[in-house]
Amino acid sequence: MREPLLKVRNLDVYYYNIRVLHRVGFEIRRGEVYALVGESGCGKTTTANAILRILPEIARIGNESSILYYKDGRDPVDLLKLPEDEFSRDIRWKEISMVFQGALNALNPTIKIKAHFLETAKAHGIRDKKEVYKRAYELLSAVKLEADRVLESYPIELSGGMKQRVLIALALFLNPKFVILDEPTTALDVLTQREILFLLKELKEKFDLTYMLITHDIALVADIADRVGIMYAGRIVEESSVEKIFYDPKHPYTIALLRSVPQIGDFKRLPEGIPGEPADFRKLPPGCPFHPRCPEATEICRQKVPPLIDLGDRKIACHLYAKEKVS
Amino acid sequence: MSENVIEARDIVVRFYVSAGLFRRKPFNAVDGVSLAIRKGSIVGLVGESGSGKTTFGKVTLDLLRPHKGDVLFRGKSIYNMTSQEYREYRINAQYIPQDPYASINMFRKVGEALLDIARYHKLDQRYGVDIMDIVRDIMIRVGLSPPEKYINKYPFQLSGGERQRLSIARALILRPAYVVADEPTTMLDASLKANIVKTIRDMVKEFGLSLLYITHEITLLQYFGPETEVAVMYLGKIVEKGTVKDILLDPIHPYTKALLAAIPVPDPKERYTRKVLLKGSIPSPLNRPSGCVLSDRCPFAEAICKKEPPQLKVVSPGREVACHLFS
Ligand SMILES: Nc1ncnc2c1ncn2[C@@H]1O[C@H](COP(=O)(O)OP(=O)(O)O)[C@@H](O)[C@H]1O
Ligand SMILES: Nc1ncnc2c1ncn2[C@@H]1O[C@H](COP(=O)(O)OP(=O)(O)O)[C@@H](O)[C@H]1O
Ligand code: SF4
Ligand SMILES: [Mg+2]
Ligand SMILES: [Mg+2]
Repeated sequence: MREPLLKVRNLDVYYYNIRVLHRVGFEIRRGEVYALVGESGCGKTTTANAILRILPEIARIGNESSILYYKDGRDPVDLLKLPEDEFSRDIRWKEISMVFQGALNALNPTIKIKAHFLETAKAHGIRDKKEVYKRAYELLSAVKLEADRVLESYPIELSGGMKQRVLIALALFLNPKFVILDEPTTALDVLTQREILFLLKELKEKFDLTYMLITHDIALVADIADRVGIMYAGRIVEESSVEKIFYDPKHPYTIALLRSVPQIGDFKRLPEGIPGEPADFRKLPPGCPFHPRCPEATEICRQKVPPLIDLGDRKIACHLYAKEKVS
Repeated sequence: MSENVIEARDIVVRFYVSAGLFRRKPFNAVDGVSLAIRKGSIVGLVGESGSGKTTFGKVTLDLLRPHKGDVLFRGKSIYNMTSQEYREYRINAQYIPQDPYASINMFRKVGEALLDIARYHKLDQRYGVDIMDIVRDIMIRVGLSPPEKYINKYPFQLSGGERQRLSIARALILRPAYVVADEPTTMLDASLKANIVKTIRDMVKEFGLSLLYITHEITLLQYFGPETEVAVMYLGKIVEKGTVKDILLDPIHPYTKALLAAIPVPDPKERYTRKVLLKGSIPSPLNRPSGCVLSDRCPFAEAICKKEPPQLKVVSPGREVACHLFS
């Protein structure tokens, strides 16, 4: 088994007084692609922001939470305990980087792509323009763009797929080892989505990267992930290898997500979608947060929150698989 | 009166892109597209972003004037109507945009927003019923139910799916004869897409509407039934026409094949065999190839493809393809 790179433990995050993450824990190993999957609003971006320590002021992390990072295989540091100046000097962008959700429209429309690279470099004290352009050229070529032309372009002159490539290149600027990809293909159409996924796989080999891929689209992760964590209402509800998740899913929510993927040419069994609305953190139901939408829910599901237990081949939080059933 | 509710004939829409300082180069965002939608029927328009789908849809709603071509509503040119006829057409031709925020006033409550439209068009007099009943009725039909729960909410208090339902209600409260739904589910999670598509489908059937459903997610068209007509568009041209069944199970045009091959497959084994069929990515308006629009990316392109644009030709009953390989 590969050595660990990141261990998230008991991560609790509150916005004001509303608890959004509940004891989130997972481990990412060096060189793998870990996918975090769940419907919009379940807490995926919050998890990523906690790791990169860019949560908004109003957010609070629980006292028992820790995020261990194994830099160069050395003893782990708890990222949550590191002083901010150290974190921003040694970790953020240099070790751990992120391609932000929805950032396609966040590129400053008034400056050229080359200026975006200069700004990124300047924020890290690199001022030698020639050096910056050289690196930008390398990276833009690595993401399969015509570097000369793109450096001189404004964001509006680039298609969605091209902008996403630029954002990936920017995220790689300081040579990070671990990259969080937050919905990297969501705003793109299927063909561009495919191209970006192919590119991400290639970059991973080329630069020896580890990914955390965040998406609400479970079908996508079959193509790239090694392990998958399924999140519902701020909790990991099932976690296993990509094969177990797709060939032998056990949690009713995982099963429901997989069933909502339409199959080509199967007109008889069109997916129904998951009934009801995604959980609302301001009024979570008692018991298992998925119970109002779960076809398997029984009495205990309405009363007790199922704990995340280890079944050997997976972790799962569901009363159907709890060892001791209350009768 | 014609059987076609909407008939677009040989539509050309020309835009300009900046090609350097003070230079603007024209390109045809829609290039000779003809499409007819019969009374009570659904036509799917698919293709990746930038192919001209929205532009074409807007032409049929007279939100955009084409450079060339004609649009007939119930057999009569919309550019040659009496003001009475034109008013009738405008009420009868409605738009459901991709981004619900584009059509919704953020500062009007759900009930008020719908009431505004009902009042403006004097729907109570038209149907001889109480105006609030009209509002409640449409809310229930689009799934904002029970209406009391939503009527006093602001759009930002709705979830993504609910907001899209509101934008469907806005378009359909007028019981139009013709609706353009422009990627209404693109911004939604897979688990919610099915429900929205089914809502639109059921209302279309019930009201006997004619629908142009624009999407890059070809699998969603399956909800409209295997015999639904589909047009595949790329760089302003229709490259293939057929039924959903034909297009999904037996794609002919290389572009359609690529589009289908790009759909994520929820099976981890597939990752080792899947390929990207087309070279590069969609060219910018400045770099469109001459001859066939796909000739710079097509793996089958021959000399003639680079020289002459292929015409859309009937290859079998109900099946049209624009490709030199099949003519
Ligand atoms: N800055 C914030 N202030 C208050 N609530 C927030 C903030 N950011 C996110 N949330 C809430 O936290 C929950 C999880 O959000 P997020 O982590 O963005 O989910 P995801 O990335 O899975 O879509 C949502 O209910 C969202 O509304
Ligand atoms: N108002 C406009 N001015 C100039 N170019 C435009 C305008 N609207 C759209 N375009 C361009 O026309 C092409 C087709 O756009 P669009 O109809 O939005 O495609 P789709 O809906 O298939 O994504 C794109 O290259 C787009 O950038
Ligand atoms: S006409 Fe030629 S280039 Fe165009 S799609 Fe057909 S084979 Fe490919
Ligand atoms: Mg998110
Ligand atoms: Mg569009």
